[in-house]
Amino acid sequence: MFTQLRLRLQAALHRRRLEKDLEEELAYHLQRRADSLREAGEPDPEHAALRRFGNPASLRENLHDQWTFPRLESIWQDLRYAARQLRNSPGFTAVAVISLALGIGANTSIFTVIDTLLLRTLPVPEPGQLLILRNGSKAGKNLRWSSTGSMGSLDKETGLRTSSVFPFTAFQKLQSRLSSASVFAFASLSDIHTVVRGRASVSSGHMVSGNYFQVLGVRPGLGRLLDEADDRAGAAPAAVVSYRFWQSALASDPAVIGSTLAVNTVHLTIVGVAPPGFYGVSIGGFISSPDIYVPLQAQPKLLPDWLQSGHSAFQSPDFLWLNIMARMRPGSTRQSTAAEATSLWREFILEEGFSKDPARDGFRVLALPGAQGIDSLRSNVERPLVMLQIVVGLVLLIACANLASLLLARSETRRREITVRLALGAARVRLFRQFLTESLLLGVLAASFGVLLAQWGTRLLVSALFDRDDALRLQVQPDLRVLMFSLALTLLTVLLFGLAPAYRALRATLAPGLHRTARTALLSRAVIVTQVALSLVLLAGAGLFLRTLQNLHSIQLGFNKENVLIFAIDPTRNGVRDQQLVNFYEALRARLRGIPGVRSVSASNETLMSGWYSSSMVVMNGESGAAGQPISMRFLRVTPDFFETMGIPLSAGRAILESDTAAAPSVAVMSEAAAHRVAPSGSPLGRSFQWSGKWRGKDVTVIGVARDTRPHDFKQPIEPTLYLPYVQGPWPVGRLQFELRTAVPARQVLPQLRQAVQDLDANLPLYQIRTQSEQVEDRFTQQRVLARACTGFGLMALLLACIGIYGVIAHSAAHRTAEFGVRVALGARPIDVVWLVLRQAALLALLGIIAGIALSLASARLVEASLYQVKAADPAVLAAAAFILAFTVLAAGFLPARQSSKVDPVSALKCE
Amino acid sequence: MGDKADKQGELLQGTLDLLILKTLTRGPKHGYAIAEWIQQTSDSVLRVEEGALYPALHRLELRGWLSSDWGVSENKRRAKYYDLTPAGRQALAASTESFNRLTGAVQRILQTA
Repeated sequence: MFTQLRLRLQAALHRRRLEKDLEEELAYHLQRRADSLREAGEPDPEHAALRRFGNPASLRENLHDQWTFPRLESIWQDLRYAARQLRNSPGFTAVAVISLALGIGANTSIFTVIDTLLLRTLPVPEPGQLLILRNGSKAGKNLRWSSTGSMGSLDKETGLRTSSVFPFTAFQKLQSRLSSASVFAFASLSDIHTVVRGRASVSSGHMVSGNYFQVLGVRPGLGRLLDEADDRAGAAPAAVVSYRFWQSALASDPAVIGSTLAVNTVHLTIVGVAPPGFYGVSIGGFISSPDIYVPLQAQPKLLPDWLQSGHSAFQSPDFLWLNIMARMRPGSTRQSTAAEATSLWREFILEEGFSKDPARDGFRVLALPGAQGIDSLRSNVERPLVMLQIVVGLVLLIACANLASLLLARSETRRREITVRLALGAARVRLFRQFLTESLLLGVLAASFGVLLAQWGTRLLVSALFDRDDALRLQVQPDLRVLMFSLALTLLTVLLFGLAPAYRALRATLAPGLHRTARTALLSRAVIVTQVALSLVLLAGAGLFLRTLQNLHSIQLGFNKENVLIFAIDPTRNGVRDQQLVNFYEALRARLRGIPGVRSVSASNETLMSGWYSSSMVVMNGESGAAGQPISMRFLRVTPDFFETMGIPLSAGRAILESDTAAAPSVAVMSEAAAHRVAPSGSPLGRSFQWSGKWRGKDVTVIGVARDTRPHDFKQPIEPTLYLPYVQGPWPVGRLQFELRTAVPARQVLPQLRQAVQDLDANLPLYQIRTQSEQVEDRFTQQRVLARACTGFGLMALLLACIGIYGVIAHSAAHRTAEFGVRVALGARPIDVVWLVLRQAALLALLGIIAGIALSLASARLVEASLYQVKAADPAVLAAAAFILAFTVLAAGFLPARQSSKVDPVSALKCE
Repeated sequence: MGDKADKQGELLQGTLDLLILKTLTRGPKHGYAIAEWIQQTSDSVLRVEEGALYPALHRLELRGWLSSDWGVSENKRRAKYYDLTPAGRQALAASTESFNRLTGAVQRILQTA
């Protein structure tokens, strides 16, 4: 067996020698036979020898086949033949390969992102056992314990307000009492200042419970990971760094174990490095990928500002800050774990006095599948990704359809060749194989270009879908699944576009039948109608998203987003606090105001349209009954000039002024929505309120009313908002975001801005630098990506359809040359002939447009959620798409039609 | 596609293989000599089809039962000499035995009255 393979491989390598040897061996035999026959007196020994020997050519072939791989060789022959065919029609090959490559590339890149974000599971053992816990309670209940501002999000289906974070004491209860699963907790430490080996940088980290790595089942990449002993009060402060941080910030130095890392000026010892590919409980390092892991117990030291009534919030039962995940024990289910956790959570709520009847108020714990970890933005990109996948799937389908019709047209023109080959005795199976080989070659060529394109497309997609920081963090790497996907896709496309022409080759008969041609024509026409219909769907989609973008851009934001530069700065990380901190901010404001080109400067704890906000409960003074109940309000803590800088007009009263110092009476400006809430008919000016709960104390007087601004999610109603002088508390001053309104393009002042901060404190990094317009633009990302993709792919589909239509019309016009000749000879004008040909194209376009409109209406539901103030069945958009299609299709058909009208009757008739 | 065997030829083919192997126990020979030797030794009863001889030789070589080498023949010309390999010897012993069993069985049937 192996001898044979070895010998045959050897022979295949020494092709020429094999031929020569066979030749020589047979020649020797013939010669000897002839010699012996001559001796026996044969008159013509050479011929007699040959007669006795049989046909040397067929014998040689027999021997040759024994030594080589005839099956492989015929495949090789087919391939060479196919390559020659493709080379002979470079135009066709280019169109085919480019359209398929674009289709395969786009599909692969979107699938790569889908695979990373939506399909992969955490790189830990048995990820299916992991659960994410959330807590929920009935919406509309004003719960005292949510005073930290974590209101959670409203789940429309269950009517529950749910939150992903729990207080530490609740975690302790779950950890010690939950029998169906082991729970672990973590909280993110964003924008921490780290100093390692004398280099300062802004990083992100996770505070993790001592059992975090153990329950997840992660093994150390180097050194050891954190354990229970590290997370006891009084334990030596330890930290684990991520593999990426170890590579980038620590130069992959194994000697870092045991060295010191400063986080927000707290010194920690690096005990180990997490394994490569582990990005916390986030796949691909999306959003919450920590550089550093520290024990939960480090929280009071690392974040001393997390205070409640002067005490660290760490142990406060009403401070929600910990994400909790669980690994189910064998025999438990998601439901049983959720049920057990719910009863413990209700026990906790009751013990802490947050509710007298936790069951009635809907307190419960939800357990969500955790195999894919936590990626908060996953749900934001899921819909556009799936939609993009559908769109590019359609484009690929169009490309296939188009290619099938081109190949059919080609097989029509190759009919003579096929007939000759059949007549010469070519096996039909062989012809079938040859046609399929040609398609396969096209497919493979396209796939290799497509996979290259996909590398680039994936990066493009990631940068379009996510903002820069997230895009950098995201590790999108094609894996085996992606490869299999592309492979399957290629094979599928080859079958889709290659099978029909190959089948036709198989069925071709020596005597061409007319009905067969008619059927081919029908098929390629059906293909065109489909293409027109799909192009219309895509173009209509593009129109809808472009309209949506337009509408989004014309939204009244309530402030002026142009020419505003924003950045964040946080001196508290360097230990600057209280009065010193306020002094720093005031000095910075003064300096920034001095930068040429800067019109006005303000700062606030969060910026407009960032998606981040604080909220709290207020109780209006002098009200009783329902009006005296606490009201939830969002609030922004701002410096003077905030309204001027952001361009928010005041509709009544005054703005916050420099005179509103910490010592002055507490004041607030209300948004119109807030004013309407507390004083539906009158003016809130001069009214006062108190913060509810433990912040109760000082009266806050309303001094002004500002116009409403849009929240970051346009579809949400405008929330009542308060603007407070940032120095008037009751919360301590922390990080601020500065806003600079400029007279020049906003980014131009960045160098002077950096210098100004540097002059004040060289150890303070600026971060989250962006313009207010960019921040607003980020909100439209989804619509923008979809609009671009639909437009791009829609145009591509349109182009493909045009090529297809041109091909089919030109082909059928060529068939009718003689007929046209007769018509012209009988006195038809050129315009009549043009119309004769164009009529076909018009009919196809009409059918396609009708089908496309029907298809658009049917798929309207899919896009509705991504649209803004446009109906998915918008008649103007559909009409525009239909018009564009009709016009281009007729234009594509006009070229061959004009050609036909120029036919010379004499030569046309001679031709037949 | 060297194995297009039609059922009737199988026995003959097997017999030819056996004869070739046996012939080569006397030392290396080229194709023409093998054909001649079989014809002479069988007193011209068996005449080897030359069209079948070479395919058989090459098949046996590919199977690893024969080895081949180019040598100079008795009339001073280059010729391809075949020789038995150890595997070929084993195969010869096995085929001889089964051939004897077969012919013995055929004999017994023919001798019945």
